[in-house]
Amino acid sequence: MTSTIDRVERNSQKEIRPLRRAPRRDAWTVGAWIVAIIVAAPLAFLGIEAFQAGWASLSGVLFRGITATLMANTIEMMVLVTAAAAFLGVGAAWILERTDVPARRALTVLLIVPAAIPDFIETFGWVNALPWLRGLFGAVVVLSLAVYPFVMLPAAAALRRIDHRHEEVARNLGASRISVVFRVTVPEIRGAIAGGCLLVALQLLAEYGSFQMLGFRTFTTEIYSAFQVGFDTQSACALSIVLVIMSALLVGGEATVARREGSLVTSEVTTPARMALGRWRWPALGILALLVTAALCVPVGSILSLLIDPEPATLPGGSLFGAVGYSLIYALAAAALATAGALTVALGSRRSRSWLTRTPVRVALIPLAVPGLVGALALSYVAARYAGGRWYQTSALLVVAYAVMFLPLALIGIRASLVQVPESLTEVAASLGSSRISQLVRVILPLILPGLAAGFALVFLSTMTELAATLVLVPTGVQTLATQFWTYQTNIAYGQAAPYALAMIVLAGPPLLLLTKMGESGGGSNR
Amino acid sequence: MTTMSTMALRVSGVTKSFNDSRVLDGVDLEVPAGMLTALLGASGSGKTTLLRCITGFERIEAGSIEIAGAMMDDSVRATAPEQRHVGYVPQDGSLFPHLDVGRNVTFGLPRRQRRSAVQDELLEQVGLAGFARRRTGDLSGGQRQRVAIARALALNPTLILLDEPFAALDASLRTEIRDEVIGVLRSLRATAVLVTHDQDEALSVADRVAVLDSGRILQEGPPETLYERPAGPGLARFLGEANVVSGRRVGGIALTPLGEVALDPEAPTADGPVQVVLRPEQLGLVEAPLGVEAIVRKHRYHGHDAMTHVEVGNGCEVVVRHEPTKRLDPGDTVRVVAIGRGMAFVAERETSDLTPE
Repeated sequence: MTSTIDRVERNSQKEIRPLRRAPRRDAWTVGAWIVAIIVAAPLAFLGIEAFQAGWASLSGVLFRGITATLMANTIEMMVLVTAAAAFLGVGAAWILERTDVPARRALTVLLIVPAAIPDFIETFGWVNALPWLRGLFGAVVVLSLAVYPFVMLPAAAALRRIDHRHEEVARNLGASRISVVFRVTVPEIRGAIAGGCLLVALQLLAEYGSFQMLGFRTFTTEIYSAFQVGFDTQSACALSIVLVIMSALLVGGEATVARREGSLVTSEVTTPARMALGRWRWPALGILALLVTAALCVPVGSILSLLIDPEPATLPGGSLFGAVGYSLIYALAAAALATAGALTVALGSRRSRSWLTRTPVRVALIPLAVPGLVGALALSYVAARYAGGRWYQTSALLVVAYAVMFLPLALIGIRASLVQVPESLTEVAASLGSSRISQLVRVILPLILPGLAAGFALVFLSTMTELAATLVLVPTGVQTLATQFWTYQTNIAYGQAAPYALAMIVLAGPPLLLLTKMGESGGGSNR
Repeated sequence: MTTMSTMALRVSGVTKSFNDSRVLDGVDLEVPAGMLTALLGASGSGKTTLLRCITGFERIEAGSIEIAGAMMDDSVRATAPEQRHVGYVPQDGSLFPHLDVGRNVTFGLPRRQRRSAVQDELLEQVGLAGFARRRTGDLSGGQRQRVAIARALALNPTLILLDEPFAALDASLRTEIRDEVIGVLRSLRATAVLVTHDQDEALSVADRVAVLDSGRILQEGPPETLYERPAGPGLARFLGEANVVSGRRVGGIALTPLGEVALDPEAPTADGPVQVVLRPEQLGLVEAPLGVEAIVRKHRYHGHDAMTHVEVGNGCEVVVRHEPTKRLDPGDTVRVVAIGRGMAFVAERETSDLTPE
């Protein structure tokens, strides 16, 4: 039954239907590597610069007394705020998902909104309302209220997802309600909590505006003043490296926690019973209402009051219209670029699972651990050093910086939605005669549209509210909402700053709405 | 070489490895046009890999693949999957979830042919007339499979490949859906390769069966040949229940613990020690003085028949399929006789794999 075909016949077959050398390497993989190199280049250059500066000069910066103070400040603040955010976030999530507290839907939305308001705007509202709120105490109060949604969202999603039967088994084994919460529920969602806490901690390491306003010294405030005020590149660079290392340690630590996590997703999702609060219903509502008041009503109300009762202008007025225009254009361009880049990386890693396809994904996620300020400094440094300053403070470089910084946000969403497009679908399309491009347009894109839209919205939102990187890289003469706000705020022209703050809050609305819609339809994942 | 035109698929010496482990090791296979060939193998035997090499999703390292006489992959150069015109039906059907049933079936057609008239016509072929505007999520398992087949057949492929199309279905629905799908393929006289790990499925639906193990085709032929004249004791067990007893061949018979067993004329051995393969239905329970004495070890009642494990002297245990009327208990004494012709193979150590040598 074995058929051997002689050479001659084979050759004649070739003539009938010429074969072509099929590419062994996916075109998307090549694209993914290009994106990864663009993402990694600025940081690599930053490392090279630090290395060239030599250990002696670096250690001179690193072992100054002020560095130890900064380190202590940063860690102390980070631990306190993260713990407070975890407490508020998990508590709120549990009440919303597992009890019969009234007005759950409205409360859920109101409790998420602070996630879309930039931290420095919330801080601005608080500082305006309570000028004595400063230092570590101020930082802990204000930032905990600003960042808790980043724990609440994944915790709530996990609470909806976990297998409720485990809790029933625990009750059956004699555990009380309270003990079930601490011995079963919370351990089961600890991966989600850890993920949320990581986001919070990274955000705190990267935050600049809030701490500057609160007069609280951290690495970012010090790096910014070293760079912008003192033109001390070496100090800025050395401190940046410490900051990046701290971020990297956090990401690594979270990865080990997440890896130990058991299987969270179950095939049969049971509808968890909500705990009947009885006479505690109204106190529970009161607690959540208090949280909404503190996190949303106070800062936004404070900004509104500035608008209603304007102080006399002390500085020449900027153009609100122009600032909105620049902010929108930059945010749209950055979102488009980041989404395209993330799509390329995600597609490049979709097929085979070798180091060749995995590396670009890992590299593209690095900016997650790089504070915006550091990324911007690295890019401006590259532009000054290797492009002869030609690109420094141009709109193009600013948009690229945003896109690189926020590419991980788009990548996470796109990868999550790409999982829902099994390889067999594109293979079937290929067997039906579809080319690579046609497979992308006719099969992949329609299916991952929700993920793409979520990624786009997230990058848009982040770009719109990015302060530190914008301050470093914005072209001379251009004012965005964030920079114009900052100019007024720095000069204590609060009344003039308020419209810009409000504009940022309003513009955050549509993307937030889109994101919550996506979240409800179950498309996006938190990590 | 006159068979060139009638062979829809010719696979010669195909070799493929993943991370240094050889998955396909010189596979030779020919699929005649208009026939349904089952590619039977346990999980890990390489059957899905072979299918993916034929569709072009994987490149081969050595050998060649020809479809309808045209070279598709000669291990150096290959035709891209989208240019092979091979129908492919993956395990779950893989219907495009963002398109309705009608748009799914016309996916591969040129744009101007993606009309609803064409959709209806294609769906009618598979008995799903009027389903064009349905959502794919609303279909039953069998309907999904039929839509996937209509989609593949829309392009009039030389060959249609089905990758375990029934594996994911409930046992209760399986036979029904299988008959449905196979009926469609037969009515359209399609040339098909059906990948399966279920020997019962392979034997009952296919015109030809090819058994793949450890990356090699062990035997290929009509189902009856494979079942009645397997190429080795391992293969015999893989294709259904089989008793393997040691014996000594003398001419046309073998002397075994079961007494004298007539051998198949095709049995490929010389006189001397042999292993004789007998299906349970080739044994029978008889009254003295016929047969040899045996002690019942285990009795399973199946309704339509019964299977009894009996021990015939010095530890030789065999299974007998018989009428369900006889109620037997462990320890009972019965008499067993071979009623068919057994296959004989060169005696060897008992091995559990399928390798015939």
